[in-house]
Amino acid sequence: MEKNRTILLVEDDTSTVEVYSDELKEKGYEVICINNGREALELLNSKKINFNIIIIDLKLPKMDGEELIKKIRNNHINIPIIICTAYPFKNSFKKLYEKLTDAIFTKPVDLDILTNKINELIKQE
Amino acid sequence: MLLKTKINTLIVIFVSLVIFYVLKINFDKIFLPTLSFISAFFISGFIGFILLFFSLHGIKKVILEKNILQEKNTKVENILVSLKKQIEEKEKMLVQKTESLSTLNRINKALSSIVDLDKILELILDALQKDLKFDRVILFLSNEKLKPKKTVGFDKNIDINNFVVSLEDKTNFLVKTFFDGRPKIITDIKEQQLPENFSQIYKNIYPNSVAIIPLVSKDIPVGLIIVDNISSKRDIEERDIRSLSIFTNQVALAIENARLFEMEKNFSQELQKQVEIAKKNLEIAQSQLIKSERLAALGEMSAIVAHEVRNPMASIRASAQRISKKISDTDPAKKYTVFIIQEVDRLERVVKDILTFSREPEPQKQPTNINALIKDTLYFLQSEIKQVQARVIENFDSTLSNINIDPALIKQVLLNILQNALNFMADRERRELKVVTYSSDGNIKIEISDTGPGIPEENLEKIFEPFFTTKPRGTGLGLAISSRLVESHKGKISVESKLGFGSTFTITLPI
Repeated sequence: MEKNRTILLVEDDTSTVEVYSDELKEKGYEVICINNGREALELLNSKKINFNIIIIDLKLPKMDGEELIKKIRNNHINIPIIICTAYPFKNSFKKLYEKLTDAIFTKPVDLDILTNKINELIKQE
Repeated sequence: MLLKTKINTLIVIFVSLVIFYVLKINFDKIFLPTLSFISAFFISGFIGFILLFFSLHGIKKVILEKNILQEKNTKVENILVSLKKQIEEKEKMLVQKTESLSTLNRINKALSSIVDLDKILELILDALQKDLKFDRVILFLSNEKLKPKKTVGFDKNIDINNFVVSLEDKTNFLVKTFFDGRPKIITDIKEQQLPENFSQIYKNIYPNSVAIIPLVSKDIPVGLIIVDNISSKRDIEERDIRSLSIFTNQVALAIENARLFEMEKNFSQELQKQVEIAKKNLEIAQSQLIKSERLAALGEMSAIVAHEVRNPMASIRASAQRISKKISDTDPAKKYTVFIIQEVDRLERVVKDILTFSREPEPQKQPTNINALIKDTLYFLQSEIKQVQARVIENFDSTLSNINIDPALIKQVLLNILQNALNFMADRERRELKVVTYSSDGNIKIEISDTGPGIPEENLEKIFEPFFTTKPRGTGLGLAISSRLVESHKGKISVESKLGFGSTFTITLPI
C-alpha cells in the first residue's frame, strides 16, 4: 500500500471518474477529482496540495487537456502526467505529448496497466 | 467521147464518098475513066483526111482536157483521203485525250474524296496501262529504301517484294534517276544496267521500250515509276514521257495528300489522346478530391464517434475488471465479467480500425532493416503461430539494404497479412507460412504465402475494399488499411491465389 500519495484525476466522464478513483483509492492513493481544466490548473497553481501524479483526459470543458498540460509545464510544475484519452490524436501530436508527459493511454484502459504505470512513476520520484 | 469520134469518122467517110462520087461523075466527063477514078480518089481522100484531122483535133483537145481534169480529181481525192485519215487520227487522239482527261478528272475526284493512298495509286496505275497503253507499270515508294508498292501488267507469279532497292547504292541507275528527279528512257539496257535482281522481269525487254519516271513531291523525291512495252515493243518517246508526267504528278500529289492526311489523322488522334488523358487526370483528381473530402469528413466523424464510444467503454471495462477482481474464480458470474472485458477489447479494435482507415496515414520514415522487421513481427505472432501449428519458412535476402519506411505502419501491414494467413490456415491440413524477401527493379518485395483455402476469383479485386470480409469476426478493414499504408510509402500490395492451394500477397516497397 502506498501512503500519502495523492493523485489528481482531471476527467469529466462521471462513471469513469468513479471507477478509476475507487480503484486508485483501493490501492491506497488519495484521489482528488476535478471535471474541468481551468479548476484543475487553479488548484495546481495554488500549490495547496502536493500531487504526486496527474491523470488528464484531453477532452475537457472550460480548458481542454492540451492547454492544461502546456500551462502546467509552463508554470514549471514537474509532476508526472499520464494522459488518459478517448480522443484519437495524430502522430505529430503524439510526439508533442510524449515530450510533455510521462505516459499516454487510450481508453478503455486496463486498470492493472494504469496502476502499474502509476507505481512505476512514483518509484522514480 | 468514143461514140462521138466514131460518128465523126463515119460522117467524114460518108462526106469523102460523096465528094468522090461527085468528082468521078465530073472527071469522067473530062478525063479517062481510070484517071478520073484516081484523081477523084486522091482528092476526096485528101479532103477526107483534112476533115478527119480537124474533127479529131477537137476531140483530142477534149480528151486532153479530160485527162487533166481526171488527174486533178485524183489529186483532190488523194488529198481528201489523207485529210480523212488525218481527221480520223485527230479524232482518235482526241478520244484518247478525252479519255486521259476524264481519267485525270476521275483521279482528281478520287484525290479529293478517297483518302486511301492504295486505292488512288491503283487508279493511276490502271490509267497508265489503259490510257497511255503501257504494257507494264511498277511503282516504288521510298522509305529508306525504294520499295515496290504496286504493279500492273506483271505476271502474278512474280513476287514484287524481291525488287527492293537500297538508296545507299548511289551507282545504281534507278537510285541515280530517283535523286536526279528527271525521267529517263532506257536506250541501252546493258549499258544502263538495271539492278541485278531486275533481270528476271526485264530479261526480254528492248531498248527504248523502258522508261523511269521519278516521283517528286514538293521538291522531295518520294518514289519512282518504271513503265515498259514488253509485248508491243513500241518505242517510248518524249511525247509519252510528257503524258506520263501528268499522271506521275498526280501520284506525287496523292502521296503528299496521304502524308498530310496521315499527319492530320495522327495529330487529331494525338489531340484526342491528350484530351482523354487530361479528362482522365481530371476525373482522377476529382475523385481523389471527393475521396479525400469524404475521408476528411469520415475521419472527423469517426474521431467524434470514437470519443463518445470509448468513454463508456472505459467505464464498462474498468467496472467489469473491478467486479472480476472482487469475485472468486469459481463464481458463475466470473465468466461474464471476462466476456465483458473481451468484448470491450473487440469493440476497441473495431474503433481503432475505423480510425486508422479514415485517417490519411502519416508515415514517420526511418532506415529500417525489412528482414529484421518481419522477424520481429513473426516473433510478435508466435503464440498464434503455435496455436495454429503452422510451419514458418523464412527465405530472406540477407543482402537487402535498409529501406526508408515507417516501421510501425509496415509492421501493421505485415501483422494484418500474417494474421489473415494464420486465421485461414487454422482448419487446413497443410499449414505452411512462407515469407520471402528480395529486391527487384529498384523495389524491395515481400512475399507472404499461405496454404489456406485460396480466394475465389470474384473476390480477388474486392479484398482490398473497405468493409469486405469473409471472416465472421472481421471488420473488413485490415487489407484496406494495409493497402493504404503501403500506398502512403508509394508502394503497392498485390495478391495471387489458387483456390484450394493458398494465396500469396506481395508487398512492393520502393528502395
